[in-house]
Amino acid sequence: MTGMQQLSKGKKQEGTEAFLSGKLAQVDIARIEKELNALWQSASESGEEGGSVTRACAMNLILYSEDSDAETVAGDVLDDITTRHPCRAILAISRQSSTPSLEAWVSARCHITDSKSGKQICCEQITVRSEGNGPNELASVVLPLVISDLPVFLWWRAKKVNFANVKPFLPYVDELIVDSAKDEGSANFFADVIHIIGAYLEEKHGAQIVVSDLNWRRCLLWREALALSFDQQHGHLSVSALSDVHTVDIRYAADKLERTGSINQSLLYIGWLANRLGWQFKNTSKTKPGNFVVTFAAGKKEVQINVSGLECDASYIGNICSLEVTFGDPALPSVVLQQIPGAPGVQMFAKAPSDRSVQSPPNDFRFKVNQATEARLIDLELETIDRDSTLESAFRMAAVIADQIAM
Amino acid sequence: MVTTESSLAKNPLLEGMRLEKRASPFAMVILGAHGDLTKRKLLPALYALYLEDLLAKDFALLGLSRTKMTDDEFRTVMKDSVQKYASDINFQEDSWNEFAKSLHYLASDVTKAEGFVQLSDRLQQLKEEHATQGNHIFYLSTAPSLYTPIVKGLASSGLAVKAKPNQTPWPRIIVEKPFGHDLQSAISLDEEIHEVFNEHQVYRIDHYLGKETVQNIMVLRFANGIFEPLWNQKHVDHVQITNAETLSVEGRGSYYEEAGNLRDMVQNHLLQLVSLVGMEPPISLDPEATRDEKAKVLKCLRPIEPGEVDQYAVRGQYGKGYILGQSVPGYRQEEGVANDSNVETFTALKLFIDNWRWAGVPFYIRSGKRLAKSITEIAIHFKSAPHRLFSEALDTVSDGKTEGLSPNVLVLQIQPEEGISLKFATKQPGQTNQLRHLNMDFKYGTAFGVRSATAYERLIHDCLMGDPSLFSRTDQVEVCWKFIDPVLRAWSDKTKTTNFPNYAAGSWGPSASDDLIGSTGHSWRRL
Repeated sequence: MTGMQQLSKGKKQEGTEAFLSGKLAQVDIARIEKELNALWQSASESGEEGGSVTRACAMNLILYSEDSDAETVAGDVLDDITTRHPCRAILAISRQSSTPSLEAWVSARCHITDSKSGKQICCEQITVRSEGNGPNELASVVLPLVISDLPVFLWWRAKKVNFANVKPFLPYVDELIVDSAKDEGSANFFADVIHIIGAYLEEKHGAQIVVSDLNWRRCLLWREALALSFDQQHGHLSVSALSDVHTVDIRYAADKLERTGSINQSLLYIGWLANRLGWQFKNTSKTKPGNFVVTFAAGKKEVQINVSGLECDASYIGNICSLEVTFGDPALPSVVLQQIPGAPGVQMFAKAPSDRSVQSPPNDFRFKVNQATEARLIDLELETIDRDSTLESAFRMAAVIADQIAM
Repeated sequence: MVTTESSLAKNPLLEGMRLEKRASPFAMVILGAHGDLTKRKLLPALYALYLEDLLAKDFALLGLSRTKMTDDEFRTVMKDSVQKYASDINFQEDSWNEFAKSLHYLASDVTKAEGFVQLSDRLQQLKEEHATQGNHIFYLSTAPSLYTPIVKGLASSGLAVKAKPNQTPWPRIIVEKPFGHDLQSAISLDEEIHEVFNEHQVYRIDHYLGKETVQNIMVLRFANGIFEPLWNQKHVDHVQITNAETLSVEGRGSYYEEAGNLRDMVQNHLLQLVSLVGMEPPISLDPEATRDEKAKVLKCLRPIEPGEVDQYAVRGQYGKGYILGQSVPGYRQEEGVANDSNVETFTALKLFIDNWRWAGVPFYIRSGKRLAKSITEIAIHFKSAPHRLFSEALDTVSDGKTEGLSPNVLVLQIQPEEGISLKFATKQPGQTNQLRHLNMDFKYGTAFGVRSATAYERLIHDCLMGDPSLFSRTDQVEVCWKFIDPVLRAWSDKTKTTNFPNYAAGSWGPSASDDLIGSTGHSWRRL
């Protein structure tokens, strides 16, 4: 081997090591796949000398972000989720700028599976940063990078779910993951998502896109806890009490900035409850900033839902922190669900109307903590691609209420 | 939290929700708690389930054996075992201390009636301390000879009660293999158990069925449209199932002298694998539907007539040899083994499944100790392509000889690495049509970077949830014994001489095993 060849081999090895350690390697935008393949080739060759490297991929995950800290956040999340969900992660960053530019980097995310042999399982991350361009330009770089035949998840981690921005990506997407809690300033976040579902349906000639909302998963424990309050095996009341609901008081962790996203979990919850119990929307009224009342018709009766924001021990602004359901029949105890500071999950109590005493449920009634990190929530979303019609109908009702509140 | 079908249907708020199932409160009594199985497998599995939050909030584990120990001493022994044998579990002092609060011990003799009186009293005490609601699981991890006295003792103390078929089955009994010594003893043991437990309370554990790859056999066959059309006598030439261990009897010489390889591995594990490969698609994933299909295929095994044993079965016993560069003694030199022992440490069988799907397809199974390599796999050998288009393009094999086109082989690897491999032909780069056979590999460990639950974790959890799918049912056990009984009888005939030891440790078994498979024109895979 000549001196030049040795030098070139040394540099190549250095580049490979940097790639495997997660360092971003800038690549020509037109040669992303080729550069990536060359790096993997080199990694597998160097693996013969040291610990072996296996490239694993079971899905595509496109992470769209407009945030300035997109790379850092993506790095943290991908580190966590790629152990359970080996994927090609494509970080699509869109930023405002007067000078249009498009740049790309590649890196690997490796986990040592066997400390003795040094065996590593690696996923790949491609970062595409688009400044001063429109969504079509970005999508035209990102979408050809999708690995064929593997499911495509699009995690829309932006402040708005803007149809014009999402549209170019839709033809490739199997599941769109949004987070209604992150919404800032949409006229109606839920209506925007419903519009996307409809547009996809039209474009794909009847095929359905799966939509999931991290905020829907965050409030899962509240939905489970309330549902099981009316389960004879676990709760205090029978299912028949559901037809006698009179008032629901929802308290959530308020945001001093009054972002629209902070009431979205409550809206979703109300949308779910109203749909499941067949309530008809009547009207809304705002009591003070962040607080509102929604009235439904339940047969001949009315149900009032009072939503109020307050400072409470919730790990995320907008998370529900307590809930109380009272009934028309004064003899029925009200159902109280609340988070006990420091305790995991939601606790269920029955509050007797007369002596205000509380009673715990008789059975094992733990709920898993759902104040999970963003990475954990995404991790759960990536497990399956299942259309959730309950979520979609909750979105529709939430959109109706949000429209009225905004008026 | 366990929800019932009826409550799901009635409660509109539960619609569309997939509630996580949670085990009911329970007290598990591990009989034989000072044994190796408890230390190596059961406690690590229970602790792992605890860490995963898959146990009930209220539970108690009661270790029982004759050795005198306090609760605290037992906890210390178990803590050491978990740290020693379960290095892949994220052991934490805090969580162990919490878990260990539910860990108790009772020194008692299960061959005496007083032992069960003590057990009954202790369980009553634990019911109050841990709110176990009187839900008992009895895990028989003792010597098989104690199964009958234990079942009788549980019955006489009132701890064993028959649950009605439509009731949640409590109490439950988990029985470790071997389930019986032969057909007659298995039937007798079954009858004794069924005196006091109904079948849906009995969990006969076969840890092979808890392995991810074994469960994946059904997924591979029935969730992929491409394999099932080929999975029959039209396309499959033969099937080879290998279970090879480099290990010896590892201090269990006296047990092995009673059991032998045929009982220890073939009657249970390997025939279960045969049933998974050979079964028809079940009508649903309902536990009984799957077990029905497995039982059906086992019932189709062509019986081996007493006079034909030598045509279908080969036995072997290892002599001294070399394993991984170390000189190792023969079986007869192992501790607890008679120096003129005729117990087999190797079995090879040729069997046929006489049904529409498998008519004429030989299934070869081999299992042995002190073989060249530790490996368990199922290899489906497909028939060769019907027309030899590439007849001039011969494969070159490693020893320099050439041979014709090899058929495709689908290998389901069970241990040490779990995975699937498909051997197929491809063109060698160059100007000629030279072909090469390559393997397309899928490895569980590299495709999913997470720790898989161990077989015992999966099976214990299933038992806690009342799901018997992965446990052997009485009719399966009986039909397996029925199948191997003529071989057992022939091999126990003392008038027949053996040429034991007939294979060297570190080899692939006796040459008669090659003759067995060779008589039908096949050869064992080179592993």
